[in-house]
Amino acid sequence: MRPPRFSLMTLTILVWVCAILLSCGCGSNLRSQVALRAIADQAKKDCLTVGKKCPDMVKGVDAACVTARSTCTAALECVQAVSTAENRIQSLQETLAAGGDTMTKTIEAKGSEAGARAICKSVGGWNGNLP
Amino acid sequence: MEIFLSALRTLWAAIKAQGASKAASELPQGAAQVKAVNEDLAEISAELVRGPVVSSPPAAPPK
Repeated sequence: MRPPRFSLMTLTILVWVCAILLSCGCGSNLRSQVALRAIADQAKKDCLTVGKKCPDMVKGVDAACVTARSTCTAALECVQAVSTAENRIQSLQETLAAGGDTMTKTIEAKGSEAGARAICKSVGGWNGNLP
Repeated sequence: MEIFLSALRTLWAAIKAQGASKAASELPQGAAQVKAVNEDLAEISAELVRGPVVSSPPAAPPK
């Protein structure tokens, strides 16, 4: 009978090496927060720029006001998602700093970051200026 | 093999400690980003409910 190709010990070492490589390879959380903030700033700037053309955002019915309301509603959706992601990343950072278990919080933070980026890009084409 | 595993454990512990230290140092800057995004959110919300700008009449010249 042929012996198994990988012994348990080899597999254990592989898992450790993968874990170490993964922890080194992940980007900085602060960098994600800064990138998300850039997206939120971009959305807000667009909303305020378009909003200047509308004298009354609540009751205005002309094309400028319709466009402004649409842009600002999209910006609101985007920035709300960014805010959630920022708070989750901050919560992950607090857990990391305290040396706690970060698996669930990492999944939440990365998931909400990806969601926020997708929402902002789809509703307003905002993707920030940072990678 | 045991020595190798022990070295990996030590390396892992060192990486984790370094990560904790980095996260702790980044916390204030992260809090600033959270605050800035909340301010953006407030500005956009205010813009969406902004009514007509009422210009105040010019003040009467003193007699």
